[in-house]
Amino acid sequence: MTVTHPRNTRNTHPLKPLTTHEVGSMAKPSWRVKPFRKMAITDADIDKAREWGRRLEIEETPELTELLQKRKDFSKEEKARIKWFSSLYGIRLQEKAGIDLVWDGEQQRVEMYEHPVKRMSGFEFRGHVRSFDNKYYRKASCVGKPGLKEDLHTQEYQQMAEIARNEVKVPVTGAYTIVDWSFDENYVKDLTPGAADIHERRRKARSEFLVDVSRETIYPTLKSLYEAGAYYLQIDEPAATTKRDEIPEFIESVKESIGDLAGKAFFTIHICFSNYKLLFPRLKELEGILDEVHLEYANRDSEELGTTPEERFGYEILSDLRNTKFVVGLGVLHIHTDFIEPAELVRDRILYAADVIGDPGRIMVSPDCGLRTRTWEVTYDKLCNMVEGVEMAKKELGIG
Amino acid sequence: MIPGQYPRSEKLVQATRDFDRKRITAEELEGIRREDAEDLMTKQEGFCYMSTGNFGWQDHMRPYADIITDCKVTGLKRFFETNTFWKVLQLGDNPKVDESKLDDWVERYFLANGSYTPDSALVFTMPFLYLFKRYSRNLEYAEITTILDTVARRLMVLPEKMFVFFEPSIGFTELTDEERKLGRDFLAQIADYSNTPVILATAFFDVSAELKFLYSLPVAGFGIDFYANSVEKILADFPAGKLLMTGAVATDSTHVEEIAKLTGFFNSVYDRVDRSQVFASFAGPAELLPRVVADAKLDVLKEVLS
Repeated sequence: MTVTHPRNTRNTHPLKPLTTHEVGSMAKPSWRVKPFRKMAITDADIDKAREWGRRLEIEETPELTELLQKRKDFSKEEKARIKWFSSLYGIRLQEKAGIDLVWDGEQQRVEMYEHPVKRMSGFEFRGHVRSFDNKYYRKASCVGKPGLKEDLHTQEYQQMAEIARNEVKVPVTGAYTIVDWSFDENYVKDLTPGAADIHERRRKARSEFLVDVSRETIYPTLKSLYEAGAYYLQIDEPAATTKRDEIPEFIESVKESIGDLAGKAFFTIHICFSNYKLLFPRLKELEGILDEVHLEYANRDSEELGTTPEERFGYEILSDLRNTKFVVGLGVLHIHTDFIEPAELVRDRILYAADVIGDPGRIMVSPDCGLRTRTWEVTYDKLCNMVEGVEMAKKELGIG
Repeated sequence: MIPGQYPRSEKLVQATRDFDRKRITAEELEGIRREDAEDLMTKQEGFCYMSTGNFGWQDHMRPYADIITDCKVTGLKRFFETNTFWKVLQLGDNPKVDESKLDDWVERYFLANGSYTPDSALVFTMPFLYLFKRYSRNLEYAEITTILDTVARRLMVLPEKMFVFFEPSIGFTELTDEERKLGRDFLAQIADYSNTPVILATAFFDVSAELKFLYSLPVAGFGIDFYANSVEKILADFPAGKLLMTGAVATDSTHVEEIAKLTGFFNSVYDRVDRSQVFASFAGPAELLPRVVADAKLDVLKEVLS
């Protein structure tokens, strides 16, 4: 079995096989949320900050707990400091768990859609729509040509890079997802229901919307991050395969978004809860542009131990990725349950993937998606087991 | 008529979030849910069949997890080509409906916890066979038919109801001859024991290739998304005497339809289908819109029809 290493041209530390990373979001601690909702900080909130500070060995914890003693009516500066602490805690949690490439669990962002769209021109929020169960997100409508009103992530990156001891990986919501998760009142107008040309008009409008978001918002954001020194750039495209007929448009939007940055940084694309079969064969057009293709697998897999296709049915799509040049971002943690995957289960998922892909150097290990719906206790336990499972797999593969 | 789930108000969205985070009690949440149901009731004044809004539902499949034995709620699966997800039901080896639970279940899910009486004129929405298959695991069509039939029998004894079987799979996947036969047989079975009118509602996709099959089904009418289908194709051979539930306002756009365009649309429909056979509705599930937008679209629809 050959072992290659993902390309890494800018950083001094070469990536090791089975490098681990988080995917983006984590829950926000109550002491991070309450000051922004005008809710009073309680003793329990302070105890939690103290307890996690102790567990994560955060020296600055006394400053945080003292700040939280104010309980309410925090100034703008104090709120910013609380947010900074939240990022510090998020990063330290991942580092303590043993994750190689870290981010702060998106503690600075409302969530992956609202955060960028609020900073773009040409959008207005219309209200909440359901994502699933009782989870809702605020959905905007495009009302004019999209553009950037302000920096999306560069300052955030600079802050995280300063905090982190490990390498950071910056998640950026992709153009297709922004378009798909938005309504459109700008490009598609004057439709008459039942008109003969309704399908063609809608498709053309959508394509124009997508090109504008890619060129005017995502490319400048990635370029700015690259110029600021960011190397690991993750484009989040959970919506990528939402519409079967739009795979070509999605592929074009990735090309437009990365443009002349291809080969200069390590680009990951993260897609989840989708029909991945639809991506092939067009995805191969992104070889040389994208480095890692990260997908969610554990959500659709069994919880049984084992390394056969019958036990690992959730990892079926790996056979399509085998004959590509992409690094495989392997989701091994189901993010919507509190089930703590045993390290042995993580190990088996990795061993199965290594067998199918034929090269553990082409595998990076991570949760399926962001862990924002789990508590920090569950998140931490899951991540620790993931790292332990990676070590067990390395031992089995003889690449320790 | 607004079958299926109507969007929750911003207040109810917040309340469900607060409840999940243990910030409010179940009673407080129920009170806010009831307010939403009453508000929607007012908005539907004059409708032939009212919708409860299904504000307590998570998705169209989830209620069935409460009454099917050995049923586990598992991972997320995209709801067709939208950014909404449903959870897949995983069934054991011998799934069946626990009929002892049905009375409470109907009260909770179909009569909005007592907001409506059993004899209220209501539209009930159920998943059709292919939809149920798509969002379940380890379940054969024969078992799905038995489950849906057991539920339908219980619901159809209630008077003054319109039944909508929701089925976006038509036009999304190519059905096999066997699937078509199963669908037809199931609807015929229902028609044998009930006079409740049944509409088979499609959504999201171009169904023109399936019109021959659709129009051959033993149902009272059909629901068509006119943002995915043209009037010309759909109504060229529309069967006489059947109801047409027109998906006239878009659920994937916040642009509130212009009165003139909607009027033109309905006039073109009335040229081909008797006005008394036409119901106006949303093109897909209204809950894909924010509540304020859905309300505005409903107002326009009412104005056009008045």
